[in-house]
Amino acid sequence: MTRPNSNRTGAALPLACSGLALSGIVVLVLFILYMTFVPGLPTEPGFTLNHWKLILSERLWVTVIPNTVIVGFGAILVSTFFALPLAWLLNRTTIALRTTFVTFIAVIGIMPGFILAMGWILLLDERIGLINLTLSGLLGVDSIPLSVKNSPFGIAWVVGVILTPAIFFLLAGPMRTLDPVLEEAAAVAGFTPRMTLLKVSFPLVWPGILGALIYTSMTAVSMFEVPALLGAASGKVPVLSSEIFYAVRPGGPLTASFAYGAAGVYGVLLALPSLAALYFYLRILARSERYRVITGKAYRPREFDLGNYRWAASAFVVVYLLLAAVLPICVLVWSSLLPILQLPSHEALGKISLRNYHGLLESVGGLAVIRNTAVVVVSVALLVCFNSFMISSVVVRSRARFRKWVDVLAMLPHAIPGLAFAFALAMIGILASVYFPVLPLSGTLAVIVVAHIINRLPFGTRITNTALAQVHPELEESAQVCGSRHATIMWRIVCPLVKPSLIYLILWTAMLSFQEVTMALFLSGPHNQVLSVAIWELWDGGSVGKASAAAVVMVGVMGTLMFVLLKTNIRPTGDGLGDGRDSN
Amino acid sequence: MERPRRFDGFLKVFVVFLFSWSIAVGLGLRNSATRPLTVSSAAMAATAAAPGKGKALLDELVQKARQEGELVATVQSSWNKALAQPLGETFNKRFGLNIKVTIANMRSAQHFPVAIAETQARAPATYDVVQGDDAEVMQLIGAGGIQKIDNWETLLAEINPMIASGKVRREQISSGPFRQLGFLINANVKQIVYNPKLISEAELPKNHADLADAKYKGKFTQPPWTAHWEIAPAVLNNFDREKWLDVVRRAGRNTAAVLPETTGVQRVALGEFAFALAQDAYFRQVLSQDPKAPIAFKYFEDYNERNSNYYGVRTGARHPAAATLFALWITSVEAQGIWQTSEFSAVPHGESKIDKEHQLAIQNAKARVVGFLDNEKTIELLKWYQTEEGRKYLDGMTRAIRGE
Repeated sequence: MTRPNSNRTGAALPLACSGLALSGIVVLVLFILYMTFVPGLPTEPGFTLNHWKLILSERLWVTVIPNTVIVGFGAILVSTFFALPLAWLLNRTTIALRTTFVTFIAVIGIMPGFILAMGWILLLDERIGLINLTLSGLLGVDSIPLSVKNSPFGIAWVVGVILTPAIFFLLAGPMRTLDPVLEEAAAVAGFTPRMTLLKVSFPLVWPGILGALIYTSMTAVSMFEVPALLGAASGKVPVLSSEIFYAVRPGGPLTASFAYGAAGVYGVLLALPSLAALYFYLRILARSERYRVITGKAYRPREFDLGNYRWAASAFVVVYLLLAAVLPICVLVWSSLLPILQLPSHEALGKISLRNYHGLLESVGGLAVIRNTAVVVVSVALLVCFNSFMISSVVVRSRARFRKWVDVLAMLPHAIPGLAFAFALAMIGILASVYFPVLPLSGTLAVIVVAHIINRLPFGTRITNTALAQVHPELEESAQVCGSRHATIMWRIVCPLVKPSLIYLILWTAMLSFQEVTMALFLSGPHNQVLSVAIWELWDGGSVGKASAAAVVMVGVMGTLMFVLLKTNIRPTGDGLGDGRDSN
Repeated sequence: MERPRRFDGFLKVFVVFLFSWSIAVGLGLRNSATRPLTVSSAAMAATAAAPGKGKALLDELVQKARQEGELVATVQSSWNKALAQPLGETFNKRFGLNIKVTIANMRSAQHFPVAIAETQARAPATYDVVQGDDAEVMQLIGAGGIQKIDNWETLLAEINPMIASGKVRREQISSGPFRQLGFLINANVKQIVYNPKLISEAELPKNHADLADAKYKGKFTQPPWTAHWEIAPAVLNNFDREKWLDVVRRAGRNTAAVLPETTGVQRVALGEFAFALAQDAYFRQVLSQDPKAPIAFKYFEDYNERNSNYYGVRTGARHPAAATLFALWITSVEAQGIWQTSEFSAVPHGESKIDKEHQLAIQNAKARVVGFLDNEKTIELLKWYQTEEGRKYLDGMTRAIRGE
């Protein structure tokens, strides 16, 4: 059948938008690569391999890479230990207080990493750790030599706990959309519930699990603030992400100039394992159709009755939430009530006040910071949604031969640390202010928006790819037969069908953008400061109480929004962010 | 008539796209040219008087600043953000201006590389006037990132009453390699801040080299910057560069955590570390927040670096006249009265309560406090750090702090 001209015109918009967004990514990646071979600023002449020679040292192979591997794999191990049972319990069983639990897990995902890491130092440290102090008191020993600091395993534990929500939410969809017919057949064949779980359910969601693990492992190795706080910044446990940070953000007068090339080299080194992981991730996605046993008409979710294990299951969820959310939040609230951070004691209780909450708005930079934050959050959320939808239209709906490459390019930013992109954007901003002064990049909100869009596109396209793939093409074909044009079909048929996914994407991107620090900090100037940076600066500047108060407010607002979001049943098509109700 | 309706959907989406983009881009644009320029009656009156050369120069500068209409300045990242408003308002009031003043917190170690990159690329400066310590400002001067202020001595006398009255000499504000370029605002002394509940004064290291002793392993924190170590070559007798690097490296391996000083002091008060290498201002800051906090301070016996902070006007500043006024005004007692109440840094030649206590503490302890502008040897060292060899040495020192 020959498509009408208008359809081609309609399909041109997704192509044009995808091309624009992806060419930006390609330019930045090439820029990062190029910088590794020039001696100074990219505008200066010369070619050098010195950056590579300096960095590919013995220390890199003996210390940095092994630490990164331990942190990456360890974090995935810890995350899987918690996320897999949590995803099953909260999506496929009759466990109580489901929405409340899911809300708490979501709140962990939006809490700034440095605050969670600080919470863990207060919990598990040989000298001041509350867990250590309690245990040593009970056992009658001087100290318990257990700490999350200065050990790659300690870092892996904290990163793992922090990344659990990411795996949980990535697994929630496959868990909820699992065809119950196969499980029922297994039950008929005499399988016990446990055997059904191990031999039927898990094998069916295996591609989803593996994909989630690979995707999250890429996040684990590029995470900076948590390893930095727990030992990387001190040089005790250097990892690739901390090395890149110190290459682009020098800490002393020696490096009053950037190690321009070094930043690029570390970016490439971090990207290599991530690209390998990306390759396997895409292969798994390509093969996942073999496992697609969901048929729309027959699909109806079935929940396992946990019976006597109900309380044990609840206890497991509660223990995780205590470790990952409740205790760090308690630490935050506690420190927000004190003039300076100190351990709980009778004396400390006497110092409790709401002083840190007074004049909080002024302390974070006033209304301008709130306005900037709102502009960034809203712009990033809408633009990520728009661009993701356009890219997915090409990947999922078009017959273009290069559509797989479009998907790969859209995923590429996840393989490269955000800081490398921020660094490249900062340099491009400086150069643009000389050669294209009309382009408002350097020191503007626009540069932060661009950095966030690039960083969130992989997440956005995962959501929109899945959503579009689940809308059967028959609907569009019927509309085409009726004479509707491509643009009309997308707007009037496809968009309403995937609306929950798009709203979910907008809200989740907004929240992630709200709490992002590293890139915004690097790109911040006098006119574009956002709230997360202001809180980090308060923390970094020693105003721990004020920073905690601001973080408590931030987490409170975000937690409430998340709760409302889950209560109103907004979730992506086929995903399982809870079902919007408690089953108690 | 069907055609336009069919494109409605994508048009709507596209409008959303353009709208959100234009908000982001639009808010990023700085359009100072459209700001109304108002001339206050006080400024008009001041301009009318103009008896001497200084007055005339100042009036001319004020007039230019008024035409520029804006000023973008940095303050130290640890400074209270709430200071921005009173500083801006008082600055405007002092010169009869009504310009938009943006004062942003910025860690100089983070921004100075950007400033140097801007200078190298000949790009306009992000900030008109910047603050940094001796070594940082020296790097920026070396890269051509700071511009000279013409007639600075006359202007300073006109703006800072302490200079006019002769209580403070001009050289105390700007001298040596910083003459005409960098203007002193305050100075902090690098020392030991400790938790008396965890370690007694007698147990603390006496000299910097003691930090390499295994008995201090895991007991202290130090910052990633070199301010505690870098002045040693000009201070210690029979100094050997390689041996000193080794001392720093062994001390780095003993360090429990490399943290910014302000965070380090907080964690000492928390009881996590026994002591921190930090400056006196953070000690005062913590005590102001909690007078019962378990912290005390001690000077090293070999030396204690006086880390001075300066303001300099950026090369390529968009508002150079306003920046010049700010760089000179911030040295005054009027400005000090605003920032010192919350930041607790001392002014070496100052007369406030904090300044006097600071001077008395050094005097009573007979501490050896040395700054980079104190003598020829220290100035030479500062200049040497600008050379390729000096930079490499500092590079090694920074890595040694992290135990590498």
